[in-house]
Amino acid sequence: MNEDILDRIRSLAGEALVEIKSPEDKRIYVKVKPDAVVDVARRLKDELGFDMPISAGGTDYPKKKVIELFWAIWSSTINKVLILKCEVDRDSPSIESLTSVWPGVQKFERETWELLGVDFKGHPRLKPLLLPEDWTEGYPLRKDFDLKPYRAKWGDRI
Amino acid sequence: MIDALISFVNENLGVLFVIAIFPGLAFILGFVIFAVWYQRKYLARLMIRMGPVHCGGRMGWLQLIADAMKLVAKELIFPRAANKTLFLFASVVLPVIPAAMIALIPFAPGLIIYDAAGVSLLVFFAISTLFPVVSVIRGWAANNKFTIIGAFRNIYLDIAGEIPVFLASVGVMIWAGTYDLNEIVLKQASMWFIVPQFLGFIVFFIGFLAMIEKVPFDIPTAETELIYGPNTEYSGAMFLNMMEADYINLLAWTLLMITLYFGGYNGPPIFADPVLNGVFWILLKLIIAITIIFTITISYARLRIDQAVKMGWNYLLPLSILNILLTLAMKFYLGGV
Amino acid sequence: MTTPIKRYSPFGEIEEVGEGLFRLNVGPQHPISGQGRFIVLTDGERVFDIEVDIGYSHRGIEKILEYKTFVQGIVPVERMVMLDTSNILMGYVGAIEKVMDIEPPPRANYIRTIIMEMNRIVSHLYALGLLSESAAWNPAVFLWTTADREPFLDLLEMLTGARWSYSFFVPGGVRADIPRGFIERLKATLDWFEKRIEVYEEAWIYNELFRMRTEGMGVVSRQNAIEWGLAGPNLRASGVPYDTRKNEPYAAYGELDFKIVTHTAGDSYARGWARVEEMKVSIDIIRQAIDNMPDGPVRVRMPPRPKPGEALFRVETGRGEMNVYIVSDGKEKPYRIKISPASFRNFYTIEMLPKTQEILLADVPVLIYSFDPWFLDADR
Repeated sequence: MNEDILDRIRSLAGEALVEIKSPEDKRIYVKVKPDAVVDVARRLKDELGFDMPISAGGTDYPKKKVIELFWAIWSSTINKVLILKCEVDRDSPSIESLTSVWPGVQKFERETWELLGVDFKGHPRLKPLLLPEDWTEGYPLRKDFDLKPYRAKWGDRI
Repeated sequence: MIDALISFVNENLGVLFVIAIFPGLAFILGFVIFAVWYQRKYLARLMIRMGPVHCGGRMGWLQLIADAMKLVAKELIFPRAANKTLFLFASVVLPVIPAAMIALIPFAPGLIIYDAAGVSLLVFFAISTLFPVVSVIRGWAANNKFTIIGAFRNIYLDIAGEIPVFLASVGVMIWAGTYDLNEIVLKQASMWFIVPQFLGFIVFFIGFLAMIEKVPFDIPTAETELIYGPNTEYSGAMFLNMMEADYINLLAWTLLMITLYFGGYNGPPIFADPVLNGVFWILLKLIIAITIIFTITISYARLRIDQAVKMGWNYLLPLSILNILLTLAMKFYLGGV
Repeated sequence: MTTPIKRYSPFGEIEEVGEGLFRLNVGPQHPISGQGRFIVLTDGERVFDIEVDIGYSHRGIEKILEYKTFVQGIVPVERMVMLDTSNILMGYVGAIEKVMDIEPPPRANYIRTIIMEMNRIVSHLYALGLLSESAAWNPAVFLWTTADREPFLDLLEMLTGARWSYSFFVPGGVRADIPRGFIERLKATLDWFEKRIEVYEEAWIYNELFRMRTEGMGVVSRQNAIEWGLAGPNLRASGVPYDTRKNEPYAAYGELDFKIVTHTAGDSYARGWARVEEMKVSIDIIRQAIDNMPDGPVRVRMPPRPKPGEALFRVETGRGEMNVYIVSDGKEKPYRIKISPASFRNFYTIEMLPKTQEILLADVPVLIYSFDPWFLDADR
C-alpha cells in the first residue's frame, strides 16, 4: 500500500534506508541507519508533511544486542502515521535527539532515556521524569532488569 | 474589693451590656458562628448537597462549635523560619480591627458601643486601613512564598477597592450633610439613601465585595493558587482567629452598607411608625444581605488581580467622582434632606 | 545576593530571565496539584516558566504488561484513568486485536461505542467541573457535574456490573450483551442530559466573569498545537480538525455520522467550550448507535497466541488521542507495549505556554485545568 509515498521516502532517504513497509493504509514503517536519523526526519517533515509527534519509545533486544527506537509521527496533510525506527548498540546506546525537528518528542525521549538508558545527544533536559531523582537501580524497561528484589519485597504479583 | 466590683458593674450595667453582649463581643462571635453555619448550609443547598448534618440534630447547628473546639485543641505550629512574635501578634490583632469598626455602628436609637462624636464614618474608614497593614505583617512574618504573595495582593486590592468605597460614601456624607452614622440613619427615616445615591451604591457595593475578600474578589486568599493566601501557615487557634477576622470583617462592612444605604435600624419607609424594635430590622437586613453576598460568591469566577485593580481605577473611581458631582448638583437644586 | 534565574527556552537553550524571581512549588500537596507537581517560576504575579514534575504515581505499567498474558493485562491498563476506563481499555484491547488479527463482531462494536461515549461524557463532565473550580467558581459547578455523572454511572453499572474499572472489553468483543430495559433507560437519560447541558451553557459558557478569566488566555496556535503534539479537545480547540474517531475509525465510529468539534481561538475558553460541544456530539453518537445496532454475537474467540509482529493502535480517549504500540514475538505475553497517553503529551504544551506568552500566577490553575490533565494517565 501507499506505493507512491514509499517511493518518495526511498528516494529521500537514499542509502540510509534499512527497511520500509506499509502493512496497512494508515501506517508506514521506515527503518533507517542511526547516524542518518535527524537528516531523514527533517526531510520527512519538510517534504512529506509528517509534523505531529504522537509517540516515541524503544524496545530492548538483548539477543540481537540492540535497542530499537521508534518515533511515531502523524501527518496533518495526508493523515497517515509514520513510524521511524532505528537500531542502536545496546552496550553504549546513544543517538542524536530529534527534539530539534519535532519539539513534541521531548518528553518521550526523556522517558526513553530514563527507562531504557538511551542517551539522546542534544536533548535540552535529560533529567529524571517518572522515576525518583535518586534512582540508581538500572533501566527498568530493559529485558535484563532484575525483578527479584521487588518480588521479594512486594510478593509475586509482578 | 468584690464590693467595689459589684458596685462598678451595677453603675455601668448598660455600658457593660453593650460591650459584652449586644452588639459587642457575644453578638460578634455569635454572628461568626451563625454566618459560617449559614454559609455552609445555604451553599450546600445550591450545590445539591446536604452540608453539616450530624452535630446537634438534623440541621447540624453544633458543627461550628465542634469545629472551633477542634481547632482550639490543636497544636500551634510555628514555621521554623517565621518571625514568631509578629506571627502570633498578627493573628491576635487581626480580628480586633473589624470588631473595632463594628463599635461605631448604631444598632438602635442609643444602642451603640462607641459614639465617635460626629465623625464616626471617618473613624470607621480610618480603622479599616489598619486591616491590610496587619495582613502584610502576617504574610511577612510567616516567611512563606505563598503568604507574601497573598499579603501583597491584599494591598493591591485594598487600594483598588477602598478608595472607590470611601468616595462613594462621600456622596452619602454630602447628601446627609454629616459624618455621623447615627444622624445618617436618622435622616433615612422617610427615604433610604439607596434611592438618591443609587450610582454611589453600585460603586460602593462592588468595592465592598473587594473589601470583604469574598469571591469574585477573594484574590489574596485565592485557594486554587495561593492555598489560603496570607493565612496559609496558621494552624489551630490562630487559624480560627483568621477565620473570625474574615467573617467579622464581612459583618462590619455589611453593617456599614446597611447603615449608609438601607436605612440602618429604620424599618421600611412604607411603615409610617416602626412597630418593631430597631434591632429587628437591622438583623433582618443583615441576613438578607449576607444571603445575597453568599449567592454572589457561588455564581461567579474569581477575578485576576490585574482585572480587579483595573476595575477599581478605570471604572469605579471615575464613577464615584461622577457620583459626588451629581450629589452636589442634586443637593444644590433639591436642597437635600 | 541574588543569583540570576534561568529557564529553558522553547528551543532548549538555557536563557536568563531576570533577577529576584523565585520558584513556587505547586504540589504535590496543594489544592490544585493532584498527584503531581508544578514548579512555577514567578516574580510574584507574572509567570516565566512552569515545569511539570510527573511520576509521583508511576506504577511501571509498561513493565508489568510484559509479565502478564494479554487478557491479564486488562486490569492494570484500565487503572490508568478510572474516569475514562473504557476508552483507555479500548486502546489496549484494540492493539491486541490488531496484532492477533481478529475482528470483533459488529454488535460488540456498537456496544463498545455506546460505553465509550458514555464514558466520554462522564470524563468531560469531570473536566468541566475542575475547570470551573480552578477559576474559583466555588465548587458549585463541580458538584453539579459530579451529580450529573451519577445517572451515567448507574447505567454503566447496569450494563457492566461496576461503576468503573469494569474490564468489560476483552480481545474479540465484549463480555456480555445489553440487559433488558437498558436502552429505554439510556434514551431517557440522554433526553434529560440534553436539558442539563443547556443549564451549563447558561450558567457557565455565558458567564461574564468566567469569560473574562479564560478568553484570550493560554492561546495555543494551530502551528504550535501540531508541533508540540497536543491531543484531544485541546487540539481541536486550536483549529486542527483531528479526531481519531473520524480520521482512523475504530469500533463502530466508521459507520456513524458525527461532526468534529473545532474552535479557532485556541484559548482556555475554547478548550472548555469544545468539551461542552463534544458532550452534545456524544449524545448524538449514542442515539445513532442505538438505532443502528445490529443483532448477533458479541464476542469471538481469541487465538491463544498472536503472530510475531508489531502494531500501533490509536484511540480517542476523553483527554485526547492515546496510542498503544505493541511488539509481539509470538508468545502469549506481549514482548513490549508502549502506551503514550494524551495527558503525557498535553503536559508538554503546559510547559511551553509561559515561554511564548504572558501568563499570570492566577492564570496557572485555569490554564492547567483547561487542558484537563490527569497525572495517573501520564505516569502510567
